[in-house]
Amino acid sequence: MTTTMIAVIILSVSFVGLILLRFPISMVLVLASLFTALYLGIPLAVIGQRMIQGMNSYTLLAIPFFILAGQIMSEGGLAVRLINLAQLTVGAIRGGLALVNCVACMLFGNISGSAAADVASIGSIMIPMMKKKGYDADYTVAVTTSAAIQGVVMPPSHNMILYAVAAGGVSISSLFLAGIVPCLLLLTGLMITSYVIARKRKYAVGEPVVLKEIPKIIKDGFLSMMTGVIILGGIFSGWFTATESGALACVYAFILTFFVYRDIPLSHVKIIFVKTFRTVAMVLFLIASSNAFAWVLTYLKVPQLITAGLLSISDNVYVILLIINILLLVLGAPLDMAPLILIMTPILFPVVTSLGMDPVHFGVILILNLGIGLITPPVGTVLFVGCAIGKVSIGKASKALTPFFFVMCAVLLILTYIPGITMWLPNLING
Amino acid sequence: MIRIWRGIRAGALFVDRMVENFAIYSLIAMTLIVTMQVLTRKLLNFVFFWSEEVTILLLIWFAILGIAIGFREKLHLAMDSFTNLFPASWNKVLDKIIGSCTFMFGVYMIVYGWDFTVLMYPNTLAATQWSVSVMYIVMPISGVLVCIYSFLELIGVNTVLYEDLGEAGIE
Repeated sequence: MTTTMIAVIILSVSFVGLILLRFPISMVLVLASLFTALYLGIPLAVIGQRMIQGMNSYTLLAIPFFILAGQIMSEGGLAVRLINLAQLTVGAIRGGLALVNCVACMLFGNISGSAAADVASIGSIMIPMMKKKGYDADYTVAVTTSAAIQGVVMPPSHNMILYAVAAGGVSISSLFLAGIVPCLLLLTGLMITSYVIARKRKYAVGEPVVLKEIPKIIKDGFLSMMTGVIILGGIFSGWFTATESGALACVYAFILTFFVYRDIPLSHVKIIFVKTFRTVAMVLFLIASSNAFAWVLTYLKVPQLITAGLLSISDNVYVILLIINILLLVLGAPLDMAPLILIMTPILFPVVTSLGMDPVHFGVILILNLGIGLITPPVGTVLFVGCAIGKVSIGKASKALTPFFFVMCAVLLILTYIPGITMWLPNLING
Repeated sequence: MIRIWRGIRAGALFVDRMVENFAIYSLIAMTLIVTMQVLTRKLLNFVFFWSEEVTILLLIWFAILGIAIGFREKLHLAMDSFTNLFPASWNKVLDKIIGSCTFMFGVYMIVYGWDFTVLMYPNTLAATQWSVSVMYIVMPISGVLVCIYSFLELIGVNTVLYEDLGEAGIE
């Protein structure tokens, strides 16, 4: 056995073993890298240096900014205003509240870029409201959690920035553009599923919005949506970088929340910063450690080994993409999304690019796929939050989620095998 | 003895708050510097030469101090679906092993972080002309905090300050 093979075994065994033994994933990445470096005689300081170098990126700054902007808006009463706006569009039909839920999650995702924030903010209003109107609790949780997944695909998604960083220089602007049509496709699929189930279970027809309230709802909704417009408009027009638009969105969200809406007092700002810091601290450690881990992977030529291994199974691009999708769905069930993006991107990126797949297209597939993992047990962060809000057991919610899960997988396959859907908008705008 | 213990506790909490406040003010400073950069570029057609470098430096400090705070608050993601199958007594032993490894990780950050800080001292950053060491010095500092928090955990002291905020998450 060659030195490289032994090193790969040390890396893999320590990685899998420590993860199974409940070690923090970020620390596992560093420890597995250190063990391998120790065996190979690489100075251990290199791992620490790679961690620091992983942080030395201006693009990465967009992550704390987007999380901060999303946190301010989530705490500041944005969810109610977006739900009211969604009510205007699809509220007055059978199962209207379920459809409002889907649209509100999409609109909220356009600002927060996070599925967990989606389900926590929209879900805490919509789930009790739906239950009060006679919707079954398991159905309300299933609709909300599946709709919340739009948040990871809809720009501006933090996960897309994580992917761009891990892939090493994929255009964030193109990724954001590429997320829009898939998100709308997902929205359509989820709305049709919700509507069909609502008809079958004979849920109530939604109430239309009172006419005189419409101007205020549109004004409030418009002001909220402006955060997304600043971020996306700024990036797409080339006026700002993703990082700059994130900072401006924070300032706008702050002014809107504390000086226009004024639902929460200014003293609440400390809590917002603490919450943001907690989330960002966790993510940045993951990024730093995965940068060290990715360096060891590259040093050992693991991506090339994986590429060769997969191509030895089949050289048919459709088969390889199916294998990758199944692999990611399986990994997404027990593991969280952010570490998987950071770990799997350096491994799979060379495989898909060698097959001629566009990195932007792959990014959207990867993110949607791992997004589905957020609602699949045993570890489904979004599912857990939804169940806690709806007071439904995970087993019952998972059963109600089944049709939504299959629809999401169908959307995933459509997007995988018809790249034109994902790439249409980036190609149209970027040329 | 109780007085000494209380003094140590007050001192530790002060350091804790200082680190946390530094991180929060860094986040505010990063936001303001980048916003200012956009405004000066669009309105006055110039940018401060130091803005990008200082912002990245703040990000590095923010991130590396965040590692320690993450251990204090038990924020770092882990997969427990496998170990939940073990009896409670096994999990207690496992907690001690994880705590000891975290302590060793802190030692690694101190030793190699300090090595790098010394090694990089003669080099300077392009815009500010500060020593590159300012980028690496945060690693041993955070390492000391990681060691303290993991040691406290090992002797059974709960280090979590924000129990009511629940778990953090990006998804």
